[in-house]
Amino acid sequence: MEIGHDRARSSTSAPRVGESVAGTFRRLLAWMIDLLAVTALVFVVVSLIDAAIGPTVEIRPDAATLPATVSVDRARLVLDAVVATGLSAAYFVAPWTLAGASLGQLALRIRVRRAGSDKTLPVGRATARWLLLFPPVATVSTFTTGVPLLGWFLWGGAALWWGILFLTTVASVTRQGLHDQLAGSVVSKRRVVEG
Amino acid sequence: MRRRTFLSAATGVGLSWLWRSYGFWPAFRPPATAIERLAGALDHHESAAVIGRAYVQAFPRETSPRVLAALLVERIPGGLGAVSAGSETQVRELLRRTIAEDFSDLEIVVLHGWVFARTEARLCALTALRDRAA
Amino acid sequence: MFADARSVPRDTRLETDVCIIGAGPAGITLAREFIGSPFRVSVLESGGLEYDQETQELYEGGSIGLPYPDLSGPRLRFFGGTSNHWGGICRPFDEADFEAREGIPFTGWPISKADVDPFYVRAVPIVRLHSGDWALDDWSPDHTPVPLQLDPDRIETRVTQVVDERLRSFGRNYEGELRRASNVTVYLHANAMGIQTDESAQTATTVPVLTPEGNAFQVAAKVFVLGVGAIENVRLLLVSNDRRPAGLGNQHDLVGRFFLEHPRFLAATIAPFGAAPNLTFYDSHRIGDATIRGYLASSKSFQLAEGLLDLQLRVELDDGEPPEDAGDFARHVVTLGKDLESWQRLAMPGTPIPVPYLDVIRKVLDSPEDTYSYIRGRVNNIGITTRIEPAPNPDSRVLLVGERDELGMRRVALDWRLSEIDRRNVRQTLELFGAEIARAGIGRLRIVYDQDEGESGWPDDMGGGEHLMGTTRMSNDPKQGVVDRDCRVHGMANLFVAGSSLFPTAGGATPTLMLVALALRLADHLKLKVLT
Repeated sequence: MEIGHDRARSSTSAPRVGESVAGTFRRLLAWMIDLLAVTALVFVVVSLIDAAIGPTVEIRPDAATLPATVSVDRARLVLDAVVATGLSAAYFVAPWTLAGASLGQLALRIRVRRAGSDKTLPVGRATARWLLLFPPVATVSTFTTGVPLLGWFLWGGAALWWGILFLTTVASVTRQGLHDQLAGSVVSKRRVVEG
Repeated sequence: MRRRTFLSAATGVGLSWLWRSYGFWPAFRPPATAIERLAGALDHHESAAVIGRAYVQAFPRETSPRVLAALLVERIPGGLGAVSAGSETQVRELLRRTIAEDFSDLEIVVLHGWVFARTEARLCALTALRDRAA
Repeated sequence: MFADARSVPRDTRLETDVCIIGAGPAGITLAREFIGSPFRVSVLESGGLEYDQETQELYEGGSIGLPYPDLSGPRLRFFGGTSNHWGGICRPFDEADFEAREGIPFTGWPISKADVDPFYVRAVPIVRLHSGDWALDDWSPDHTPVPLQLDPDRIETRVTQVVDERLRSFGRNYEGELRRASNVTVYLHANAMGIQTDESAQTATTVPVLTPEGNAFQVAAKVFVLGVGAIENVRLLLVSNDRRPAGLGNQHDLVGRFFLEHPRFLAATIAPFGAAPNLTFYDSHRIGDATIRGYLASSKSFQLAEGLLDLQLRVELDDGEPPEDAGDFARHVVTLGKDLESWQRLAMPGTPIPVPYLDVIRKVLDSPEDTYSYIRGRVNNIGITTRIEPAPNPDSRVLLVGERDELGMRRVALDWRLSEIDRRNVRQTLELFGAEIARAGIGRLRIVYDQDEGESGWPDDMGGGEHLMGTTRMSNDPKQGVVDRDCRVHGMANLFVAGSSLFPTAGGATPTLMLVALALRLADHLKLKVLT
């Protein structure tokens, strides 16, 4: 529970001496790396599950009719969605709470820490941050029926949400977007070790 | 204060977006008219319009969107209620099923030599008329 | 034995028990059945062992009805007959083919399938097939290759067997056997000039024979069988008008009438909804020792319900462009076809970047053209050609004309006609087919044949299947047919007919297997009833 509600409050989130706020561009880059990594992770795990217990989607080009060429196991779709969600949660929440940075953030030498302290995010906040950042994207791809690939990616809602996050990040002096503010986090450049 | 308002508003939008994507939206959405639901069922408006115009030419008594919607709704299982209340995916599924039944019952029309189910031809006609009016 | 008619001494009177005119599939089948029997058989064949232009020209004849090639085109006039250019496709008639159809006059055979079945069994090895199985399940039990999954009560897949190309000619197959037969003599270059009768004109007595060089002699027999095909059988009956001016068997003006063909033309195309369906079953393919080829047709139950006759729908995968005038409309139809298809999920749920399932990736890598063509909406047409079973039409006929051939015999001309029932048949069956393939998710049908096209009201590309049938049709009633159920010409005691001219209806199958079966039946009848 933070104390104080005026604008000065933000200064308690200001980076400590020796540390500067991570630039938006860097953060975007890290985010994209993370998205790729999560996609790859989910792809590998789900493909392994497919190999183990049978495919979720099967294509049979020789089927006599068109609907029969593609068969989808709907129960498996749900399982896959759950697995994907769990994986992405693990991918973000664990590194954030343990190392203060996801893979992409590590690569770009930025870190996520709790606003107003030097510590990494506790699990609760990390989860909240993940919830704000990630599911809007995932739900798009989960609940859309099959349509040419580009359609998903450009789907308005995800873009809108990210737009909000982006704008609020840029507008903030401390580069805390809506997700940071609600989760009480801040992203700064990694502390440079002197010596 | 300004920021807080902005924050709340943004949160509201974000949350409601999440809400929507989990399908709760229909509970709060005003019911669409059957005509709008049906006319919006097809993605490829240009193609539908071309076919629809051919249908209207062949069946001049079915040139009003109301008439077409009524005839369409007649054949769809669940009728008007299903069309108005269902989600987009549900309406499409109903239409697909109705079209399959049309073919089973030989409720077909031939336009420029092509064999169509009556429902899909009417759907095209509705799209064509609505686009023309729009 | 073989003999050359040109060497027979002039004005000889040859005596025999059975005189068979024509050494085509019918004549040869009949002759073979007598090998080793106590009866003497003479077969009169106009041609030699090989094709000969001069002899072939004796077959020339024009057409005065629907466009049809010259009559010397579909037929061959030498030993083996038309089987020398036969396509080899075999299938027996179905039970429904023998039954009278309500609302369609002149349908119905005086015999049933049960009467012919034992002879089908015997016919199978004669046409050089290995198997007497015709049911779809016999040839596609685990559905590889797979026939189209359509409702069999509407559109069914039927199986035909295809005879090996080298084994189709009856002449080549059976020359040796007939040579070695001591009681059967095949006279080559022997042109039958008609049939002479006694005074009552009820008993055939002799056949005058003429050779191109002018040699002439007579063949006298107890029994005579005409086996020269649907056009020539008519010709011989009509020119035999010494005692009966109208010709033999023609008391009711039926000889030559009810000419039947299996008209065919490109009737429709199918734009598949996705990658074109697997149509291997509808192409000639080998299963074990046999070569089979499937085809689609309207089901008998549909035909009976709608008062129609048979319509075959032959599918051809046509990689070409859609017909020109299809143009935009076709494109719109194809895009529309994809619209309401609730396309399945192809990508894993829950990934921020859409990524397809592994299986889908494999499919794309396997056949990028298919995937690409789906995305592009390219129309890969499937052509549908019809084979119509026409309604028996008395005005469709073969008739004598004034012109004479080199031997002095009057020629014939063909006045081929179709009727409204046939038009309705094509239209209704195509609509049914279109509804059925759309319902099954295969594609969308476009009827390309225009009912009002061409002067005749039939498409310009309409041709016959080169199946000549019906001109001396079977019926127990002399007012409805030329021969009775035993193939005996009405009003004649000892004159019989063999071949496809016997068919009262054309059926939904090719004629060869049927005519061989009927020839076997006639042989049995002659051996067991007539000659004893």
